[in-house]
Amino acid sequence: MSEANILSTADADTIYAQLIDLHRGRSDAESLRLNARLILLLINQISDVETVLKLIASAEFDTMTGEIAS
Amino acid sequence: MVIVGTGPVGLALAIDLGQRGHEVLVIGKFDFIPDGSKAICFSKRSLDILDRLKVGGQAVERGVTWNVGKVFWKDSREPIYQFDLLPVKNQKMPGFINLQQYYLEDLLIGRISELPNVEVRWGHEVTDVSTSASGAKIGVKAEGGDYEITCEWLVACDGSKSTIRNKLDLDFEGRVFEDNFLIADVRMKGDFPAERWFWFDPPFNPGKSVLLHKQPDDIWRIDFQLGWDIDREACIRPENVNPLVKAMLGADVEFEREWYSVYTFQCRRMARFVHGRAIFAGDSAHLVSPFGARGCNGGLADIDNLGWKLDLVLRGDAPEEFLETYNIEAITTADENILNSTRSTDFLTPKSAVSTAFRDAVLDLAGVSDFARAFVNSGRLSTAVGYPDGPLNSPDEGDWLGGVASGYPVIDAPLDEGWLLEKLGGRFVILSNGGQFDPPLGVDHIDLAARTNARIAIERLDLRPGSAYLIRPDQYVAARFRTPDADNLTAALKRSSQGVSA
Ligand SMILES: Cc1cc2nc3c(=O)[nH]c(=O)nc-3n(C[C@H](O)[C@H](O)[C@H](O)COP(=O)(O)OP(=O)(O)OC[C@H]3O[C@@H](n4cnc5c(N)ncnc54)[C@H](O)[C@@H]3O)c2cc1C
Repeated sequence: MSEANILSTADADTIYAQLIDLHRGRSDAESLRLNARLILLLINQISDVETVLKLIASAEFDTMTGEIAS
Repeated sequence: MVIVGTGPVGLALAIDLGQRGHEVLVIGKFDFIPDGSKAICFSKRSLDILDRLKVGGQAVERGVTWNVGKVFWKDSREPIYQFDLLPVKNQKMPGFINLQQYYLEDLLIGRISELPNVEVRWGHEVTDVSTSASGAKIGVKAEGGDYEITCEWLVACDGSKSTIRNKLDLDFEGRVFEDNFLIADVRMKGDFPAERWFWFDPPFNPGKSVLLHKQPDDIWRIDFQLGWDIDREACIRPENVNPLVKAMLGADVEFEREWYSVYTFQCRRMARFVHGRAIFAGDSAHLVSPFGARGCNGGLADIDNLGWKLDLVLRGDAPEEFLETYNIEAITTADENILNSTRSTDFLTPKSAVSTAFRDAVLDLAGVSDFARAFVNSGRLSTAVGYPDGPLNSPDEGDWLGGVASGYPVIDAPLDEGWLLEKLGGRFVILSNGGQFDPPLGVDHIDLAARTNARIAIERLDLRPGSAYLIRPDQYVAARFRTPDADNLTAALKRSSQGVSA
């Protein structure tokens, strides 16, 4: 997986906390919907089919080796 | 030459081959045109094909023309998404018409009656079939006595439950969708426009979808998604349907039942459409969900591809193996139709909590943001399918950026007092803009430089002076040249009419 543009721990912690906050007190269905919206917004930001398709595929990586399922 | 089936696909093929001068026998098991709710939406591409079969004008006249689709969500009055199916104007045919399938069949039968070389046997049922290297033999059951026929070529247009397919023990693989849809065709004086209106989760069918279409004669089709666990008998009883319709139209709108039915659907196709001397076209070869109107439109694309190829083979101008290119191109079309209709179905009826979440997130965002609208899938409506890697294409000669690439249908445009596609007709044509060459023997040359009103056609095809297209009888581009000459034209013609390179 690409390791470019690594965030600082401070930024990472801020983003992570925001994500958890977003879902605080929500039902699973609401959370799923919010996450889906978020994914769509991120896709819009990336705006490049090839990159998006690669990222979708890379979600299925092997947790031991980091290898992306084909 | 025998065609089994008097649905739209079999009848259209009979006309195509009849117009090309062949003796055609069509066998159909009913001696009437079945009414009831079947196809209504016919695409621009189908209209172009029907026009070549000389019933396009009547179909448009009889039907309801529409180009715009709107998508609503919940109780929204404004659409969250809207599309135009004829983004390029100035073409003879509209983006879509709605016309009851039995009216189309009626027009096709009318046209057949003008062709003395086409015979239709109504009320004759094919019960048996066998094939050999040189032809096929069918057994026919008829009131006047059962009989057998031997023919050189058999085309099975006998629908989704194809007798020919079953008797030859051929496969039909695919997916069945676990959902039911109620079709309520009602007669009313509604003041909805002639557009395709689609609702996700409206108050009059909570959690499910509804589709509304206008048909001729003040008939409207309302398609309610019902879900999986239903009592199919009860669902179509007027006392159960009428309240649904009333809730949608409003208590004060008067309507009458025309036809109520329930359907489920499947996406499947045969592994091959050509089995020696038996060839399959239409629903016998492939089935799709109705969202996108790709069933009958897909079947008409089949016969458009098959007609001229069978013609060449029957005349002995192309080898029998040429029909393999029908197998390849028609499967390309079927796969694209199945892919699109499967994707629409997955959007319309999400199969899990996560897919529901994605679908609803798309609809949430579509109301407020342009980018999300492209994700809204209420059915991707049938358009012509291209064969970019088709076996009959030749590579571009020279530099082409715009225009229409090989393996795609020519786009229509005004020409002289009429239209470009009318002039192309159903034969091989070289279309040029002042091209200087000797066309291959027997191929017509249309020179736009010598025509009037050709500016739009020249622009749409990027026909700079001197260049030329070679166009197939189904109006698909076979090749294009910046510097056409007798050699490159002849080579491309050979490839596209024989399936082999020179
Ligand atoms: C509710 C609904 C809505 C639809 N909406 C659309 C739409 O809007 N647009 C669209 O493009 N498509 C639509 N379709 C699909 C469309 O109706 C079919 O794709 C179309 O009818 C296929 O035509 P066909 O000629 O291949 O087969 P069919 O119309 O099924 O015709 C088969 C023919 O073969 C005959 N036959 C069968 N067995 C034998 C035998 N053993 N011997 C002799 N004859 C036989 C039958 O009598 C019939 O004449 C819809 C379908 C349904 C059910």
